[in-house]
Order: sequence, then C-alpha cells, then structure tokens
Amino acid sequence: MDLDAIQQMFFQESEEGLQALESCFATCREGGDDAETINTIFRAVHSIKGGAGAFGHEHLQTFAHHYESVLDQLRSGGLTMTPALLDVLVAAFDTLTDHVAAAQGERSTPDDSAVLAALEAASHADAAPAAEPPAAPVADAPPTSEGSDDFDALLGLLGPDASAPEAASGGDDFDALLGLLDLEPAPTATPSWRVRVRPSGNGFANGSEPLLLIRELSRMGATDIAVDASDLPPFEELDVQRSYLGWTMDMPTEVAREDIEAVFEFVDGWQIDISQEEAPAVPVEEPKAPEVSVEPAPVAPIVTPPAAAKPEPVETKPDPVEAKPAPVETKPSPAAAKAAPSSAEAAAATIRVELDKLDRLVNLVGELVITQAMLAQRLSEHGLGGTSELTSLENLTRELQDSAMSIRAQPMKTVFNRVPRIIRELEADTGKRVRLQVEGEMTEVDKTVVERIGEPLTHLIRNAVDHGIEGPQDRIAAGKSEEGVLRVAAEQRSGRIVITVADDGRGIDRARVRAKAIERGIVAPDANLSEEEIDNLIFAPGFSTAEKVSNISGRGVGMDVVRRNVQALGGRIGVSSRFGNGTSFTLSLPLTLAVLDGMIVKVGDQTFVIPLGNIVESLRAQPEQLSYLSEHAAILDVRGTQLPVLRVGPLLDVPAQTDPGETVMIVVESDVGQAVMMVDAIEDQRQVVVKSLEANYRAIPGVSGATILGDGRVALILDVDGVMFQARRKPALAA
Amino acid sequence: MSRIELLPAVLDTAAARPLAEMLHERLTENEPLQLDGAAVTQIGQACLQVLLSARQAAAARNITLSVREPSEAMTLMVTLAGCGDLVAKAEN
Repeated sequence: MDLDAIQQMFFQESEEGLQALESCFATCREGGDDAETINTIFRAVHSIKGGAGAFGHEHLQTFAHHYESVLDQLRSGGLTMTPALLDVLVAAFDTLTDHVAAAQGERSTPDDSAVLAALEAASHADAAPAAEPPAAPVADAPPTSEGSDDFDALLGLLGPDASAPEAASGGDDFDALLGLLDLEPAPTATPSWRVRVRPSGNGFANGSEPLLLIRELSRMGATDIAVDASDLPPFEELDVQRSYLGWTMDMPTEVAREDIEAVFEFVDGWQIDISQEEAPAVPVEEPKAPEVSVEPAPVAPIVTPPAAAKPEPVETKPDPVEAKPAPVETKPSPAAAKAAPSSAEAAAATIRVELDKLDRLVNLVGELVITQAMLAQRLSEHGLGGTSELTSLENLTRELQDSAMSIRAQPMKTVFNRVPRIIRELEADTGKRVRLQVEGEMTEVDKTVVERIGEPLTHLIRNAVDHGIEGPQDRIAAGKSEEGVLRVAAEQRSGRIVITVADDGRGIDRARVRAKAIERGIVAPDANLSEEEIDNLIFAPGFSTAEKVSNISGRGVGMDVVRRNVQALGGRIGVSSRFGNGTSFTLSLPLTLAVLDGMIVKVGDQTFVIPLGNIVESLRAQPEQLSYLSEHAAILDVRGTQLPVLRVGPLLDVPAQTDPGETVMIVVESDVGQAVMMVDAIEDQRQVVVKSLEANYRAIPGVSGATILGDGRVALILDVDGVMFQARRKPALAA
Repeated sequence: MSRIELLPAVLDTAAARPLAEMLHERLTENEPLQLDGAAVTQIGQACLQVLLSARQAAAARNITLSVREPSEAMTLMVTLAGCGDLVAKAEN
C-alpha cells in the first residue's frame, strides 16, 4: 500500500472521527458528558493529530494538539465541563473539521486564531481549582469524582480486568478501586504480550507526547510498565528536545495485537517490539520481579495514608506478582478463553474495503441476476422452466443481490451528522435560535443516495432557517417559544426512504407565493389553484420570494434545483405547510439506485420499463372515457378525474399503436401530478438491474437508464417526470 | 534547610527547557532542592526526563533533589510512566 493510500485511509478515519465527535457533542449537550464520552472525544482528536503529524499536515496537527491539550485536562479532571467550555470545544470541533478539509485540499486553511485563543483561555479557566488538591488528600481520602478518569489509568496498572472499558465508563467508583487494591490483583491477568517501545529521538516533534500513548496502553490493560532510562545522558548533556526513554510492559491476551499496534499507527520512527510471552512465565517472571515491583509501588501510597508506608507496598507487590502464576498455570482460563474470541470478534467486526471493489461486486451480482433471468427464460422456452433447481437459483441470486446491496447501505447518520454545524452557522449568521430534532439517523440507504442527498438536504435546512423560522422577537410576538424547532427525520416506508425536513416557522404565505408566481409569469392571473398547487409553485424554475438575496439560501439556487436533484435520485419531493405554523418538506427516495421494481411494457417494437413507484394503476380505456381537446390532445376520465394522455411512442420517436382502443393506459404520478401513459401492451412486472445510460452511452431526455431483460434485449427505463416534462414541450404527445 | 521551587502547572515539551535551566542553576548552588508539584496539571516525557536526569546529577553531587506534594495528575502520569519513585521519594 503506498503512502497516498495510507493517507486516504487516514482521511477516511478522520471523517469517521469527526462524525463520532459530532455525536459525542450532541450527547454532551444533553448532559451526557461522562468520562467515556470525553474519552471518545479525546481519542478522536488525538488520532487525527497523530495522522496529521505523520502526513505533514502541520496546521491541522498544531491545532489538534492545542485542542487535545484542553481535552486532556478535561478528562484528567483538571477542567470541569461547563456550557461555556462546551461551546469552546464545539467551536474548536468546527475548526478542526475545516482543518481536516483543508488538509484534503477541499478548502483553504481556516483562520483558527480566535478558537485557539478561546482554547487557551479555557485551559486556564479552572486550572487553579484543578491544582488545588495536593498529594495529601490523595493519600488521605478517596477523591470522590475529580480526576476520576485517571483512576482508570490506575485500574490499568492493577490489571486488565479492572481497566476494561466497562470499568472505564463507569470508572468513577473509587470504592471499587479500593476494593480492587485489597483483592488479589488481576486473577485473570495472563500477560501474554511483552511490549517494548522506544520513541524516536525526535519523538516530541510536532507536538507529539509519547506519554499519552503509554497512558493509552495502560488504559488498554498494560501492566508492569517499566521505564528504561539507560540512554539518559548526564544532565549537562541533556538535549531537552530529544527523547531518551523507553518502556517495557505486559499486555493481556484479551487485547488483540492489532489493537496494540493501532496505538502506534501514527507515530514515526519508534522502536516497537510486540512479542508473545509464553504462559508458564513463572521462572521467567521471577528475575524481573524487582523491576516489576517498581511501578506498582506508587500506586499503593495513594491509598496508604502515611507517606512513611511507602516501602511497604513495594514489598507487598511481589505477592500479587507471585500470585499471578497460579491462574497462569491453569493455562487459558475459561474467562480468558471466553474473552479472547469476543475481543477478536470486536476487532474483526468491520473491515475497510475499497469502494471500487465493492462496486465491482455489486455490478457482477447485477450481471449474475441478468444471466440468471436469461437462463430461466431460455429453459422455459424449452419446457424446462419452473424446476426446483431453477427456483433455488433464482432465490439464491435474489438473496445474493440483496446482500450485496446491503453492503453499500449506509446510515443516514453520515448526512445528518453535518446538520448541527449547519445550524450553528445559520444561528450565528441570522441571530435566530434553532433547536434541532433528529430522528431515524440509523436508517440505512444506498451509499450513492447518502452521498447525493446531502446537497438538497442542506438547501432545505438553510431555507427552513433563513425563510421559515422567525427571529426570536417575531416568534415571541407570534406566541411561540423564542427558539425555533427544526426536525430532520428519516424512515423506511414501502421500500423507500422518506426524509422529512420540518420547521415550526411562519409557514408558506400562499397569497405572496401566488402573487409572485403571477408576477413571474409562472401561472396565469386567473388560474384557479388549490392550496397544494400554490405550495408546489415554490418548486417552479426561477421562483423565489426572497426580497433580497441573502448569502444563506437565496443564491439563485432555487427549490427547482432541489427538486431536480431529488428527481435525479429517482425521488420525489413534496411540501405541506400551515401559514403561521411551519412547513414540512418530504423527500421520498429509492433505497438503492442499482435495482428497480418496474413494469415491462411494449411500445411498437421497443420494450420499456416504467418504475413501479410511479405507477398508480393500469387500465384499458373505453371510448367514452376519452375526450379530445384537439387532434393530438386527449383526456382520460379516470373515475371522475380528468388526466392528460401521454403517448410514449411519439414522445420518444418510436412508431407505436395509435388507436387508444388497442392500447393500455397506465396511470402514473410524479411531483407535478398524475397523467396517463399510453403503451401498446404490458409484458411483465419484475425487478431489473439498472445500467447507467450516462456512463455507457449518453443521457436521453425521458429515459433514466437501461436494463437487460431475460431474453437479452435491452430495455430503456422511462423517467416518468422527464416524460411528463417532454410532454409539456411537445404537445404532439397527446393522443 | 532546603530550597523549594514551585513547578509550573503545565510541564509539557515547551516547558522542558526553562525547567532544565532552572534546575541547572539550582544544582550549582549545591543545596538540597525540593520541587513543589502541587500545581502540576500536566506533565510530559520531556520534563519527566529532565527531572530524572537532574535527580541523577544531584545524586552524583550528593545533593537531595525531591518532589514534594506532587499533584494527583503528576503522581498518576509519572507513575504510569514507570517513574513512580520520583514522586514517591519526594514525599519522604
């Protein structure tokens, strides 16, 4: 793997880290700033800093270093989380996001001076109180909550069990720590990894702090951490910028080697040696006992009140050390044996796969589905269809296809995680106050949909805050709370994903919308429009009610572009509004763009696929149901509703049946309403594999893609919205 | 009688040089030295090795150099780094 690929991996992990940070800050906002959450934040920032240093992104690394320092103080109890500190940390998070984007070349390096100053100020905010508790209280009485996080580190020294994540998450219980100290330490501690690390001479370069990695190892369960200071030069010759120390420690079996290695992922030039220690370590451990006993010594003084008692614990420590072999000799204890696979499972829970490989797999599965359909058709032509083997093959193929598709599925969280920052920026720009409600963020949808829905969603959110939600004064005057509510939700419904962006703002002013539409020539002054039709006018090209162009939403990108983007994803967008009470936009999108449930229809000698999602019903027209506005324009009466008839053949320049009595009428619906598509016949209804026309040929108006049918024929997939749009431009489409 | 020097709150890499300079100066006075660690909220490897090296230098000159009242943060980090005796001795 070359450096670029590794750097790409770093950026991917940074993105994931940033997403985790956003979630953690949301948790903190709700009062959930527990040790584990703070630790997660710290680790994410630390990891970004490490990678930034490895790849020479100095601005990012420097900023992350300052950010990390404050977080470190926070997690070690030197700082206390307050709303003001949280604001600083969130602002720093936004800047960190910008720095990551800058490192990727997506933007220029952000000006972080203000945020750095805020971090600096925050780091000294309650340094005094933090420094207050001297050694005495530590020795005298169990601290209650302050610095609890660092007790996790102590727990790490005691043994792997004690430092398990569960202990860390709830690790404020000092009594538990005392209990652990009284007990025989680490009954299941079977140190099997001997880890030797030595930072490179310039180990402090770029703000790196080797002790943080040692602490991380301690948190993971490292025991018997011994320092090697043999390289330390005489004081007069000491270069304070060089690293001279090294460490040796034991890690329990439960920790995967990869996890240990991951700690050093972003450091350069360190000597790292991880070797397996055999279980019967008794005689081997013996000579090391004096060295081993050095570290635990200071642990005990913390709970042993008199300082004079210091040497004693040093001697008591060998006991536990000697006690270790007992469980060790029982070889992999049941506990260890049980823990090992669970840890391994956790480590192997996810793997990183290049998207290209995944797409190739999905594509191949698509080809397999097509080939299977062709085989089934060929066999049925020879009277061999419907065999149990063929049915099994069909089921397996379908299952394989579903599995392959699910690999590409991603939670909407990846999109929704960006929303809080958008809101923060909008609040700062508009002076409005917005409370965000997010629902269904774990709803999964195809990666392509996730990637392409971000832009329209962002526009809807900006629009909602800029135009929908009123300023605090207006809201109070309207009898509402000062803070507006923006709800962003996702759910799966009938095989589609439905995304809602709703605000409790002023709602659509229909009189104004209608007036503007008339002024722009979008509708006739005497047009008789329903409320729904007026609401939908906001999607008309060129429509905007903004009095002046703001830099938030009124930048010439109208709701028509939003609708076009949604339609390009095979989706639909709708709006509902109550004047004075808010507006709700609903986006309905397919879960995947790779397969499609469609109706196979014949038009002349051509075969087309109409997406089932657009089809309301199909019927044979009776002559009395048809009325003609002109020679080419027909209207079909469908149970009292008059719908325009679209002749697919003439629209797409395909010679087709012209006698309505000999055709099939398919009622379809799109965002612009319902219409009837006139086709020669219906052939079948099935799921088809979508092939991109743009990628393989070129875009064709009215056609969204193509597929290969069981008999090997290529069928074009109709874009219902596009066909209706074509129909408006070519009146000749009417029957 | 020994001299007491207050250690700063942040003993990160940037603090290593001033710490080393201060210790150099004090060691030339050939008087027992106590470093008050009560205010320390953060200590990194650079300062840790300055303290270790200074202590060796002091021992070579038969001078007592110890850390008194190390803060919780200092005790924990120094202990974690396997140098617990540095803060342990200080309390004697």
